[in-house]
Amino acid sequence: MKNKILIALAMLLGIIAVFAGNPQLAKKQDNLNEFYATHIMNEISPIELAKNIIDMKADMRILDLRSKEKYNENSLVGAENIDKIELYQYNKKKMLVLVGDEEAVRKAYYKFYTNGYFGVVVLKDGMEGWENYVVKPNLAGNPNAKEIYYISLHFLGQPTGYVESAPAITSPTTGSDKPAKGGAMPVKKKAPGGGGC
Amino acid sequence: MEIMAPFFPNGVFGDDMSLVMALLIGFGFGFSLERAGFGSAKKLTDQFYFKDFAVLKVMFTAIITAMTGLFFLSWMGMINYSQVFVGKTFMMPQVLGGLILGMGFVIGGYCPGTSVVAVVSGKYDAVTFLLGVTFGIFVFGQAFPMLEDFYNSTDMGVVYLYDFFGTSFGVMVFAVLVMAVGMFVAAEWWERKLAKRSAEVQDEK
Repeated sequence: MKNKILIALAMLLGIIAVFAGNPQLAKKQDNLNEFYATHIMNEISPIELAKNIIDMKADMRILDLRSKEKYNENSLVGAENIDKIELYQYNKKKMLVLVGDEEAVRKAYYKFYTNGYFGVVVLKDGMEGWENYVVKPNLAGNPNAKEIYYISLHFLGQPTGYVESAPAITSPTTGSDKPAKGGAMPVKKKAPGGGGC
Repeated sequence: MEIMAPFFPNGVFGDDMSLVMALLIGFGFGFSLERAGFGSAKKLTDQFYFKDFAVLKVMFTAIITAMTGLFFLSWMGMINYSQVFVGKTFMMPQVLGGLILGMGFVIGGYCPGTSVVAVVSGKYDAVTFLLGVTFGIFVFGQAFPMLEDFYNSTDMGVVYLYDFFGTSFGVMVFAVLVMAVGMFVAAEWWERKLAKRSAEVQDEK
């Protein structure tokens, strides 16, 4: 009899739980909002990313969080289309570049960052920025050397007369051009002619 | 209503009091284990021979009590569930660690917690077991640089069952409760069957 009462009580609590749904979700959203309000995400500009891709200086992975259809329409070189983040698939020492709409990017950034992936950066202005600054860049009249330098990147050019220092990830958190603490650094290329099998 | 719990993260008490609370909870936990008979290697290993399901029943009771308690206190706004620490899942290291712990449990008759309870209640075999545990911790510590990559591998982050199965928290609570009730009923049925068989064997003798 005692056991039957306990079983009935357990089932009653279970049924109430089904209708209660997700009581903690509101709190989860509060935490997300607090994170967004107090933490500025590290960003990388389309030009910097393009330079990293062309020079192969950074050991990075580009994660495209958009839908499969949009990814198939246009995507960044080497970008991986993912719909669910499985953390074990990513290396904390690698730079992770997030591309996608604001909400998806924020959620992914929060998940990575709160799990110790401090090398995660967001592509500034997303695919729109990539299109405007890299794929179809505009050059104003009477461009200076710097503007010519940037536009030439689009055509894999190497103009003379302007020397650009190594690209860095803009870190709004620290307000400097260096990555935030724990952020991934561009990886130096090995000197040519080295050994190896 | 202002959320009070969990107490430590919300500053209800400080570092010193948290240590006192941990000590009191530890005493309470040890006392409960001892009273449940878990200071006996025979009682514990009978679980693995399907002779006594006390371990399974006690552990499942602890799980569903904590789960429903957290769920409903969170639902009533008395606890901020998102502040409750949940460890990360490292799939492969934890599967291997579980197997090693299980083997040690079957061979030695105790798990680490119950071995401490048994030592306190004066069991000599538990002293040997606890020395083995200490030695194992020392070896693991020394070998850690070699094991570190594996130790940190297959990091899945914090994974909740309801996220993994794509259900709501409430549905998962219901599913675990159904599983627990099913397990209790099956264990009781098996124990009754076993007792009946023993009685028949006794009668034949």
